[in-house]
Amino acid sequence: MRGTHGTPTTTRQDLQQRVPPGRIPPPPPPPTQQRSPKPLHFGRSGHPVRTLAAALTTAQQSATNEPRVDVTAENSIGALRRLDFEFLDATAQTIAKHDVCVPGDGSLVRVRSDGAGTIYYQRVATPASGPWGTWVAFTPPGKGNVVACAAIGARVIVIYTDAAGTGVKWRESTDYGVNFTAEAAAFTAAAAVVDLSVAYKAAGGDCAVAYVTAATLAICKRNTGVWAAPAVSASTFSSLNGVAVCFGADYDIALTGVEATTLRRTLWTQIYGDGVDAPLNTYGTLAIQQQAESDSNVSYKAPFAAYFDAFRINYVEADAFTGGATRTYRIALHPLNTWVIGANMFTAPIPVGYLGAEGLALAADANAVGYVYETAPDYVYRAPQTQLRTTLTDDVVGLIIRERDASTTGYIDLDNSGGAYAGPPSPVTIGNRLDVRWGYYTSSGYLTSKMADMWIAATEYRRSGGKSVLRLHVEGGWELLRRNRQRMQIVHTADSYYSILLRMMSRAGLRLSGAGVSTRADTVTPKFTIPAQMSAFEAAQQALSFLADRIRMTSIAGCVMLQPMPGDATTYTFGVAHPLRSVQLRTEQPRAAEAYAFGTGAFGEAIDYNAAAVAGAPRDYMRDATSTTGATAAATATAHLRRRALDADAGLIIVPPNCGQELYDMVEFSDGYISGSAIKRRVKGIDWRYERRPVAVYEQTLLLGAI
Amino acid sequence: MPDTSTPPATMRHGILKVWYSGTYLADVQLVGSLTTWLKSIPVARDIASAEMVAGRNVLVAMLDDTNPADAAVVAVWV
Repeated sequence: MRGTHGTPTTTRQDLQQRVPPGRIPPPPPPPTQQRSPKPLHFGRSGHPVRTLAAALTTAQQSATNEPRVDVTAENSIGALRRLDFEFLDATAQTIAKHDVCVPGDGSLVRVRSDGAGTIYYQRVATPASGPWGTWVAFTPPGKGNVVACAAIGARVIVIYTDAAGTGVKWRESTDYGVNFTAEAAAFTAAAAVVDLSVAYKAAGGDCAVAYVTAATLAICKRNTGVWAAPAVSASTFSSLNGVAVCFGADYDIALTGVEATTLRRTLWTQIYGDGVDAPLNTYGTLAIQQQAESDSNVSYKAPFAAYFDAFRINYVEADAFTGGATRTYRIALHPLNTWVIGANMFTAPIPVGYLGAEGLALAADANAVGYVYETAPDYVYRAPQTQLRTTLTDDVVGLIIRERDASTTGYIDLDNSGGAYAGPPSPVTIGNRLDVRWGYYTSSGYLTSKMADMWIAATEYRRSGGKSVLRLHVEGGWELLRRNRQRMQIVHTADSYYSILLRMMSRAGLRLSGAGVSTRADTVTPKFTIPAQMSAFEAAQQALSFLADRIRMTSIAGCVMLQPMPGDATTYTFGVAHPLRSVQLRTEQPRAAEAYAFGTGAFGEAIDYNAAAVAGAPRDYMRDATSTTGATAAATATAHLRRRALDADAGLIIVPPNCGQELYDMVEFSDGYISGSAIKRRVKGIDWRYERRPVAVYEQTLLLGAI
Repeated sequence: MPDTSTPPATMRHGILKVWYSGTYLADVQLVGSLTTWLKSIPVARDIASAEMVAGRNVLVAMLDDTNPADAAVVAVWV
């Protein structure tokens, strides 16, 4: 929305749960309140390991301890709150500039221009029931045709322009929008205002109005009741047509228009610092989030921004080509990302079934309760924003998860013998996130450890032999990437491989962090274009083929990039304290013995001479137009050869689940019949299996790879 | 784990947007990309300049899907 005060980001920690024996574990603690999202972490402090409580480690090493698998469903898609909008009103009105805000009493305030100099106002005390047909003239005729509003607690402010378009006026309420002050002048713009937006910073009334003229962005702050002079951005544009501002930790701005020089139609993000993510009273860097060619017949307009569970933007893409439509799209940032995260970081646009030219304003009740509203003059929808979590633990009768290098799939069977899952009930719904934790009964009660996030891909009722089961087919972050395609082509000209992957993941709703990332991934800046037709998965695999690094999915829709090194320390030992049920140790040739990289006028190679001496080891050829010297091409070949070495199979072991096991961990085990010394291998796949019937099974198969 | 060797070249259908006869380069809208074009794609020299008319169909051989500079327009038709 324009002007919603920022409400907290939800953070969930990977907490181990402690519950008395026989009790259903409680849901995780309620969301903590955090004023500012955490900045992106670029840690390089070695590979992360999921650590376990000592009592859990002891329990999993005992063959007699009772297993525990906790499964919870939550109404989150990716890491974002799932918003299921419900219809409230569609009374026809003139489509012109408009806005919405939600005062602290749960009422809904809408403002709109009639496009002919009058501002209209509507306050609905009980949005569930309306009425929606009543609008009052907020101003006498003779005003401008732009308007915006914001609310915080009991305050509601409405901003609009005079007939000339340069005089910006305001009226404010301190009783939830029931009564307003008389019109007053806020400031005078240097040129006619094309669009404006307002956001409160604090309950005391500090706020800011962001506005655009034909080709200028500016913002004007009100502190302790005094309007400052507008601060004009130095950025140049060919033209501008829309602006939105919200307050997260600074004044966060979205704007639409036409880029200078290239004349590309663009949706940008910008920040005006309040001293948190950007210095006080300073503009940040324009970041392109959507863009279309000058001759594409596509344009962007009517942005609205809000910050509640995460930063979200609604905007209109107007397609003037044959068959095109004018439609609102939704984009958002991962909840842990900040507004200044950079270009091409918002999620892939999601189309909304609203075709009005002035888009959908966005606003929400404060404090992550109540509703999120999307409105236009002829449209009111709302969605509950409350976090819903349902514990499925007691009904889990079977669970199989297969984690691999680039996929996570499996299923969870829920006992539906009493019909409890008919429907199925919310939030057991396709697309929602599942929290799966593996554990045991320990000396401290039930303890579990959370594995990487998964989401419900499909639901399937299975009835056979008098049994009724609801099977939830689940999938992980790689599957989100497989489904993710952009509406526009993404061109990277000076980003490192890490940065390219970071943005790719973010557009799919995942948050990448680094832990022991290779220098090559951090420093090589390839020319890398992601065509509109290419999935994020394909693009990620293409980028990774030039690196020895791997990406491991984690919790809170996160993922970690790391470079497996031969000298990595062992993170867990089987066969001594931890039982080892079965071993298949395999030794095979590496998947490639030679790698050739063909650069631009350059050639590089990497050779595993020992493997090459054995017949059958293949040679990989790579096109690497980024490399222009033999050295850089050789570095590409070396990275690729290392990557292929890690692809070799080394067999498997079957064990009682090590609850903290993750892909690419280094493990070792001992078996005197195989080797006189400890056998060290890297985990390249994990099969998790938990079944209550017909035979109780609780085990883990670790697929091993080269180190 | 998937085979991570470099994927094979692909052929894409495009629409010619801009033709640079002096450098034998072209801007091409790949079919499916509604808002953005591939810029400065090399064009096969055996294609007559006069045939490169904006709006015509082209076939783009992409030796590396993520690097338009490593591609070529190999055919043009009405």
